[in-house]
Amino acid sequence: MTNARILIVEDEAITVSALKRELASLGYEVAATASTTDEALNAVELHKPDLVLMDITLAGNLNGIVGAVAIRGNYHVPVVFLTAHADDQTMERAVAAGAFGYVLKPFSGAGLKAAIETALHKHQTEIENRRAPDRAA
Amino acid sequence: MKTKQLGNSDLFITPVHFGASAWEQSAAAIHRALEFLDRISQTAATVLAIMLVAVIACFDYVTGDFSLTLFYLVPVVLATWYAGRISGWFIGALSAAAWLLGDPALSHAYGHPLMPYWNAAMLALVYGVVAHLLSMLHRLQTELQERVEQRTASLAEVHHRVKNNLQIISSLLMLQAEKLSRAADKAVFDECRDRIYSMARLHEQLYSSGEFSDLDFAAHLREMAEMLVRSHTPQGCVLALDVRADPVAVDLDTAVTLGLIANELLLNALKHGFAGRPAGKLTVELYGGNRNEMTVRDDGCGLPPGFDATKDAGLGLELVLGMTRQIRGEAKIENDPAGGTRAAIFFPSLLPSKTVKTELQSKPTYHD
Repeated sequence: MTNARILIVEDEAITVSALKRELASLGYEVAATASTTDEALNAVELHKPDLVLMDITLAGNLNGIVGAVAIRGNYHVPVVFLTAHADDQTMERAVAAGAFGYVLKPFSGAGLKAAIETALHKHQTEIENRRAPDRAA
Repeated sequence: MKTKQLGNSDLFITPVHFGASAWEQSAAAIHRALEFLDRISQTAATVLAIMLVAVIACFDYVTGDFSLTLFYLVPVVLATWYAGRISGWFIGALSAAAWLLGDPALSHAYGHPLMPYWNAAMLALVYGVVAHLLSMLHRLQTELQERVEQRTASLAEVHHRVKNNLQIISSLLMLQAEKLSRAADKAVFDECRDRIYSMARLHEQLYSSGEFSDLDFAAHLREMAEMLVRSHTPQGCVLALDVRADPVAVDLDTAVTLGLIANELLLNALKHGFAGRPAGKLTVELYGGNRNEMTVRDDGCGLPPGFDATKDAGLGLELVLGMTRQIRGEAKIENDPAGGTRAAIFFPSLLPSKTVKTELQSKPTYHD
């Protein structure tokens, strides 16, 4: 799904700049950027992105996992984590938070695209599965 | 195997096999008992120790002249370890009193009427000293455990920082490359990003495995080859990748250097081996032994006639030769008899450990 609108949540300015360009070169539109979980929640409300690409360790009091739970619960937007954490404990927490994907830093264009496309496809399938019983009824 | 009906449930009575399984069962029972003791409160541990003292005292009374003095150490140790020093002292004093009551000689004539009380006091002192020493050991163990946990947390933070910094360097290279107009110049920056990516994946593997002395290079080599083929296959070329890698354990320094060598060889094959070809095959091999061997082989156009790696090497190949010397290895780059290029790196399993050199130490004897 190219042209998907993506919200970047990352507190390293240089990484944000690189991500913007990488996502643009992959055919996605960057809806907005945020550096804290609070900003991310406001940005989701305001810009209604198709997907959130989220770091786990963020500036502010709330980490990315808390943000992902809130975004999933309140806005039903898929979240893909982009993080340097590769340990099992963080992975388990990410899965429990309802993550649709996981990209490890430093990212590669191919890895980023694969994770985003898989997440968007999974989200689409979930929506269709939810609608199916309604249609049957 | 016998079965016996017990209410609504079946109880399976399995014969106890002496030997390894009996030991295993005993070890499992001890493990379960220790887990239980870890879970109970300090009060419960003290009560358990008092009950043990009572049981031992009964045996002591019944067995008469047989000394059970040492057995009282069990509740003393239990109380000290799981309920603290004061509890250990209390159980020590209680054990000495129980020993005194169970002493059959109490009813007989001693050389001095105070002698049994003196003996009991001595026992109480010994139990008290044991409890004190054990409580110190327990405190040391707790402190050590806390330090290990702090170090683990620090290591996780350092690892996270390293990966984040590698991401920033990679991002900077990407942003800088944007300002370049020539595709060849951009490719140089992309190659640098590939090297950073390779090093980051090694750090990740190292941290995930929890084994910081050495790691299996095969897994890293496979992942790197797949990643580079995905991102650098020449346009219009259908490329088959064949990775045959034995598990080969190498230390971190060797792994980083070997990873960079593999990165250069793979990129070289992908950039030059298949130019203008509709299809090709890239083979990556890793064999262990006294002398390990890593080979990158392509069925492409091969090396130019009269190619001499020591004289005609570009930057990539120069790095390969230099880094191979660094890991005390040997590089062999030649045309494959079956067609294409074959680059083989032979390297030893163990490198001499690094030492911090001082001015007083003699100069190193190796060549680089």
